[in-house]
Amino acid sequence: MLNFSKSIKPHFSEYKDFKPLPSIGEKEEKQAINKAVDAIVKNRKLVEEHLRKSR
Amino acid sequence: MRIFTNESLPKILKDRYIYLDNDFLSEIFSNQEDVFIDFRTKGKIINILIDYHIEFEFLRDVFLPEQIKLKEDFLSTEIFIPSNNHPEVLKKIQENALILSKIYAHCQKSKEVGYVDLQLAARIMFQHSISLLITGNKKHYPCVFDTLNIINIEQEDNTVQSYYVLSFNYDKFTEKNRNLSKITR
Repeated sequence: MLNFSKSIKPHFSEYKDFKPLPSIGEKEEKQAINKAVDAIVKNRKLVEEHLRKSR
Repeated sequence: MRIFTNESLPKILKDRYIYLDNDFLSEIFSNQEDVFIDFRTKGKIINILIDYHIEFEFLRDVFLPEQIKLKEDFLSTEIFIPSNNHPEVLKKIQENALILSKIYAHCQKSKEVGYVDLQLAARIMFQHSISLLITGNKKHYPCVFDTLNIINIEQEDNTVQSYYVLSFNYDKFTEKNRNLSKITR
């Protein structure tokens, strides 16, 4: 069985104009950034702790 | 750790959907938080999309439950928007990926290109007029991609890792696809 047609053609989206993704608001964006930064910091501490233990 | 780039970056990234390759996504997650904040402020990037193949790559091979949660928390922030995974769109992307693989092979540039690279390239191709890609490995996106800018990130060992802002070049694609058609006809 072939999932691909025998003569495949390139596909391009019909949506050629940029539409900004829905804005989440300044407050929510700050919260999102803080959440992301929090994950980054906790991950780094976790990796450092893991490395320290494995030494 | 800091990001070094030129002033034209925000202009290039403006009004584009920015797809991140896993190497860049992992870099901003694993590096100091300044890098992530720098990336947001210097690039003024608000439209970051994550292809589901990249989500898979980002989450794979992690076995520590705490780290799994942190990675999931990071990706689940509203900063990252999941890509459109409608079956009709995915089928078109699959077919684009197959065409790209043939073009790369014809250009003798297919050796280092993996499945996920092809899928991501095919997605950028599908929405080429409004999409850009940030990747650390330009070799994975050969022949039909142009470098628009370079983002340099200082590493802890004082080396610098470069990441490329790439765009799909429709004219190059058309020419290479035409050349390929002459053979396969």
